[in-house]
Amino acid sequence: MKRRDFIEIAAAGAAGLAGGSTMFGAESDVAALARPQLLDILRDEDLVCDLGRRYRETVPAEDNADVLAHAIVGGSAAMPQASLCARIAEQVRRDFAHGRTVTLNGWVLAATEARQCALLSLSPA
Amino acid sequence: MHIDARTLDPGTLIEGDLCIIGAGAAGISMAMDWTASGRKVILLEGGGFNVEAQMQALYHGESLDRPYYPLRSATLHYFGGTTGHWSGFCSPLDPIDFEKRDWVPHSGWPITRPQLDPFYARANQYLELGPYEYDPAYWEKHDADVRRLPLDSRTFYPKMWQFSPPTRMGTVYRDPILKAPNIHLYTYARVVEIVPTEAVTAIDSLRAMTIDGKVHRVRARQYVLACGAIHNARLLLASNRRATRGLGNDHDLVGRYFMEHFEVIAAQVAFEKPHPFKLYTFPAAGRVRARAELALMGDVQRQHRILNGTAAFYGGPLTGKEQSRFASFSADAEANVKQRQAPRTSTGSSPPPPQVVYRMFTRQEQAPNPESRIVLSAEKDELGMPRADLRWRFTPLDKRSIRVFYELLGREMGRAGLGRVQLMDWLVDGDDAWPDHLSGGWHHMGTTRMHEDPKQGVVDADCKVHGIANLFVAGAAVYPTGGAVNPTLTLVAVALRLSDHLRTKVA
Repeated sequence: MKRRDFIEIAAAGAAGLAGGSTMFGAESDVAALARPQLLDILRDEDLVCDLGRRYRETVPAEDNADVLAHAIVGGSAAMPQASLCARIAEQVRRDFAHGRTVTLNGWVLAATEARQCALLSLSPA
Repeated sequence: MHIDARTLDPGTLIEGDLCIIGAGAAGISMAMDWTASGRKVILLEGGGFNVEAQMQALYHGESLDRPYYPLRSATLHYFGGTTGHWSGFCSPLDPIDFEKRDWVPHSGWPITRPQLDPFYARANQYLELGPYEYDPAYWEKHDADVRRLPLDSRTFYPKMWQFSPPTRMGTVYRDPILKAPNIHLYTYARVVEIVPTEAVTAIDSLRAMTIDGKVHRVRARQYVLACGAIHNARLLLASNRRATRGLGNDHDLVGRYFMEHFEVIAAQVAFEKPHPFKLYTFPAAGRVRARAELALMGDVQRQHRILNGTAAFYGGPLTGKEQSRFASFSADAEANVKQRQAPRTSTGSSPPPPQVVYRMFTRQEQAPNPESRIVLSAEKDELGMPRADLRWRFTPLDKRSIRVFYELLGREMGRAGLGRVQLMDWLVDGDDAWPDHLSGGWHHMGTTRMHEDPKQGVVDADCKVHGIANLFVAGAAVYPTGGAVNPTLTLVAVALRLSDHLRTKVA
C-alpha cells in the first residue's frame, strides 16, 4: 500500500470517527489529518515519518491509527464550518501557544502535529 | 610620556598621584580620562608596544578541569591589552543583569543599569561606536530594510549590538597617551607584588620588574588594578607576604566566581519561507554597524528561572561537524594578532540572501559559581611569580537555561507560524553533559566580584577592595554576573565610573 493511499484510508477512518457529522468537509480536507504542515517546513517525508515513529515509541498508547486520528480530531471539533486543514493549523498554533509540545529528535513540535507525524509513519514506505 | 622601564636604573622609585596597573581596555580608558586632569598618572604596562612571545609566556597557565583557550594567548600582555585581538562586539548589559535574581545564586550588582548609562554613553565613544542607541526601534526607523521577526514581543526581542571597528586601543590611543604630559606610561614594568602597609589597610607601594630582572618601586596615592580578571586575581593572591591569603582575600573570594560566556551552536531553525534578515545578519563595514540577536524578555527569564542569553542566526543547517574554538585557537599570540588585524577581504556590503535553515549560536551568561576559579600554581613564571591556573566549572542551571531558551523559541516559532526549532542532542540530554564544540568568548569575568558585603565580594560598589583604603579594581573582574553580552563595553563604562570616583580621591 502506498503512503498516499494510506492517507486517504486513514482520513476516511477519521471521518468515520466523526460519525458522519458535518464536522468534516471534503475528503481532501480530511486527508490533512496525516499531512502535517511540518512537511512543508522540513521538506523531507522520511524525516517526518521518523519523527512519527519516535512519537509512537514515546507514547505507545497512541501507536494506533484510530487512536491517533481520534486524538487529532478531538481537539478540533469546535469549528464545524472551517476546513479541517485550517482547524488543524489553528490547533497546532494553540498547542504551541499553550506549551502543548513534544520534543522528538530535538524538534519542538506541537502535540497535534506530532500525532500527524505518527499517523503518517504508520503508512508503509 | 613614555618610559621604557628597562632603561631605568635598578631600584628606581616612581611616584605619582594615581597608578594604573595594566594598559588594556580598562586601564587605557581611565588614563585617557585623566589626560587633562593635571594629576600625575602612572600607567604601568608589563609588556611593550608589540606582542612578544617572551611576555606572553608569563601568562602561561593550565586549564585544569576542562578544555579552554591556551591561557598564554587568550589575553594579550602588551600596550592595548586584549583589544589587540578582540572582535568589537558591543552591547550593554540588560537591567535584569543587575538585579538580584533568587534563582541565580550570588547574583545582583550593587549598582543599576540607569546608574551606568551615562558611562555606557562615554564608553561608546572610546570604542568608536555609533550613537548610544540599543533600542531596535531606533535602527528599524533608520533603515526600512531592517525588520524584526514577527515574534511575540512579550517573549522575544531583538537584542541590539554595535560593532567597534574594532578599536585597537594600543594603536588608537598610543599618541594621545604619549603626548599627555601628565600620563607617565612605563612599558616593561610588570607588577609582581602589591605591597601593603604593615596593618594591611592600605597599599604602600608596588614592586615592578622588567623582563631582564630589574626591580623598581612605585608609589602613588591611589592604585587601580587593571590586568584582566585572571591576572588581577593572580596578583592579589600572590601578594601574600603580609596578608598570607593574599590581598583582599580575608574571605577567600579572590579568584572565585570566574565566569565566561558559553558560546555554542545549540539548535537549528527551519523557516517555512525566507524572511528579511538584515536586522540579524552581520553588518556591513564602513559605517555604523549594528545587528540584533534574539533574546528573552526579563519577565520570561523570571518566569522560567533561567539565565540571560541570546541566539544569533548562522546561515545553513547543522553539519554534525560543529567545532570548538578552544582547539583551533593558537597558543601563538603573535600569529593570532596578525590574523585578527589583517585587512578584511570582504566588506560585507550586502547581507547574504535569506535562507530557510539557520544554525543557532548561543551566547549565554554563566551562573556565578564559587568553585569556578583562578588558583595559583605551584609553578612560577620567569619573573618568579606563581602562575595562574583555571578551574572553569559549571552548574546545572547553565545548561538548563540554554535548553529552556530553545524550547521557548521552538514554541514561539511554531505559534507565529514561522517555522520549527530543533535542539541538538547534547542539549536534550541531561544537565551535566556539554558538547565537544563548546567554546567561550575569551571573556574573563568575576574573580574580584563587586558586593557591598566584604563576605560576599572583593570590591565594593566603588570598585575599592574591601578593607584596603587605596586599592581599586577595574575591568570585568568586578562583575558579579556577566549578562549575555561581550564584556568590553561594560568594563570600559565601569572603569570610567571608577575614574570619576577617583577624581574625588585624588583632588
